[in-house]
Amino acid sequence: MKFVTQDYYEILNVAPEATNEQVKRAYRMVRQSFRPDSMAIHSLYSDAETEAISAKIDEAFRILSSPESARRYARYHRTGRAGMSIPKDPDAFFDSVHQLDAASPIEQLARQVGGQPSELEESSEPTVEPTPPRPSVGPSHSSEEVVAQVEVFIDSLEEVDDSLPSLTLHRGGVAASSNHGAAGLQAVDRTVELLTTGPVAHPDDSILAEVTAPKRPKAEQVAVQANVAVAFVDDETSSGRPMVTDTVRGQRPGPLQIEALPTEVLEAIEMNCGGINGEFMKQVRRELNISVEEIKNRTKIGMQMIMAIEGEDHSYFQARVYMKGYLRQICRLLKLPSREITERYIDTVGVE
Amino acid sequence: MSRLSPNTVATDLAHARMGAQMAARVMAIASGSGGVGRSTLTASIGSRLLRRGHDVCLVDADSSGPSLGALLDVEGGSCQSPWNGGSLEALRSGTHSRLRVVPAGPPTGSDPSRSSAKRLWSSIQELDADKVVIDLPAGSSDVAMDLWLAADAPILVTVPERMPLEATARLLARVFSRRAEPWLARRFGAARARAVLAQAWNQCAGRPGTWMRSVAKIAGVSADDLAEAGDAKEIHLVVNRARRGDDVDVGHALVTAAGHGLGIDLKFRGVLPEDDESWIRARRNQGGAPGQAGDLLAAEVDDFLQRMALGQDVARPGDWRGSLREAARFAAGG
Repeated sequence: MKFVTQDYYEILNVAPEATNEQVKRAYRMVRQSFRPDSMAIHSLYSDAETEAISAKIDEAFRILSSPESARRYARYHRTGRAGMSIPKDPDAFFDSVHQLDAASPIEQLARQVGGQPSELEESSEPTVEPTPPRPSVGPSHSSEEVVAQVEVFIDSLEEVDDSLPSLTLHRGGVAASSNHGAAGLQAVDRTVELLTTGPVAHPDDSILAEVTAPKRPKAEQVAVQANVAVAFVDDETSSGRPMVTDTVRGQRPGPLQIEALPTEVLEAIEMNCGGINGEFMKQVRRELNISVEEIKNRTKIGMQMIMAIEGEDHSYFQARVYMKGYLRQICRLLKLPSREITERYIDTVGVE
Repeated sequence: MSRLSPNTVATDLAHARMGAQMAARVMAIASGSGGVGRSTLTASIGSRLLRRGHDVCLVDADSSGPSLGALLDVEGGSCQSPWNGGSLEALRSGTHSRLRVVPAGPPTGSDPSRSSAKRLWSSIQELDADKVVIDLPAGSSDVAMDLWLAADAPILVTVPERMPLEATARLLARVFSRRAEPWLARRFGAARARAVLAQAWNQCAGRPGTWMRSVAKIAGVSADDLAEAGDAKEIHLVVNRARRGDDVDVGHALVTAAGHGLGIDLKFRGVLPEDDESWIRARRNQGGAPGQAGDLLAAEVDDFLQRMALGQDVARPGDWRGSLREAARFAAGG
């Protein structure tokens, strides 16, 4: 069986900064859901798979519950993810590419934790194919998890047909890749959509793209829309080795300095608007002298959505989850108390 | 709830939500792994349907986890479990509430036979209630699968976390084989059908997303034909414990993967956020007052029921424009 993830944080569903107590609780929860004597698990996995999953969960707990090995793993996790800014030098780029074929995370970890790789390999199923280590930036990266989650599915969409060229995109180093056939193309489209509509671009974001000519316009579009750097790789060079041909960088908006409005000004606006509502959001924005477009550029929230929030247009408020998230982002940008304002806005406007 | 006249619809969306009545009588809620919120969702749906004026019967077919009766503060009734050969007669005659909970937990430790699923299903069909919601055990035992896919509206719950998503993918793989096997058996015979499925499964190394294509290749049939094989009933997806808009994208990704990879018509109908503390308390069964669970996230559960009734999917951010207005028009019969 091939595991979808080798990442201990993902297996236990904990953040790298989780406390020992949180790790224990998370372990109990996942152990309970995936316990070998559960009818559910028995019906979904073979005995060998169940054993491998249990071993994996225990292994994750063993590493993350001991402060020392957890620290080492965190360090591995970080070093494994470091240095993913676009390499300017093709040779440096090859190093990072070749690292993708290097030892599996489990082997690297084994070396760092000091155990014998063979022991650790034995504890998992013999047929486990190691997933390549993901070179990537810090774990706090907001859009990284999305891409990683979608990656599972993109991964499982791989087509048998390999006549079509491949496109690999990394955001913050996480590869969302593949591949071939219509399903692969659709997955790539989806990834591009995620990358372009995702949360605010982090200053260190970069996208590495191994793109063949037909897909290049799309990757360029990503560079511009997501305000990140994209390096293009041509894998059909005369030398037979992939080469970085050139890089494109999107225009990053300049820093927007926003000072929080004094409380009395906010109160006056609130009185003026008769509560925390769309008009309030609009007047705060005007008071700060910020255009809707600037908010859009900074937050990647669509102009129409911003205007719908200000205009209390219910036809946009279908999914409260989205709506809340957007409102919070805008509040944070405008230096408003985001939780309070969001809740009061939803109360007043009556988003269902 | 009476049908709305077209001109009130455009202005009164709150009423429009209630305007569309769901055709499905029997809903069945399943999941890959345990602990993703099946019972709580069952209780919430029951409570919302009751509020809409339905006679509701919840069937507690999951022996593990908090009992539905406790979640809803409803007397469970003490009839013999139909799994063990009992009937639902006692409950039908003995209760007065418009919301009833039928205990039907399978005996622990053994996999109940398929015939007991058949018996339970016919009892359920005879139940005197306009809406029946079945809380199934997690996983894909034959009985749970039979009941799930027999329901008018099979509902799949998952959470946007790696391990449960993996189990969800497995469950969907089971749905695929359950549909494909008889179809292949008719063409190649039962033994060959099983062999093809097994060989393809080994080939795709436990990654369900490639299974259908491997099967098609080995059997020498087209993947499209295979995708159309058997019962093409749609399955309604709910993503529970969403923390961000991004988690909603996971639902869309799952729909795409199920469609392309396994030919399963998954419809993304609901998102339940996690940022509600009382919801979390109730889910973990830690200090949530009994009887309240059914009212948690009422708006989200209403949204979900509404989308099921209208055949609408959870929107992607880009699709928002006008979609609810369209739904309202549809609800009004326009």
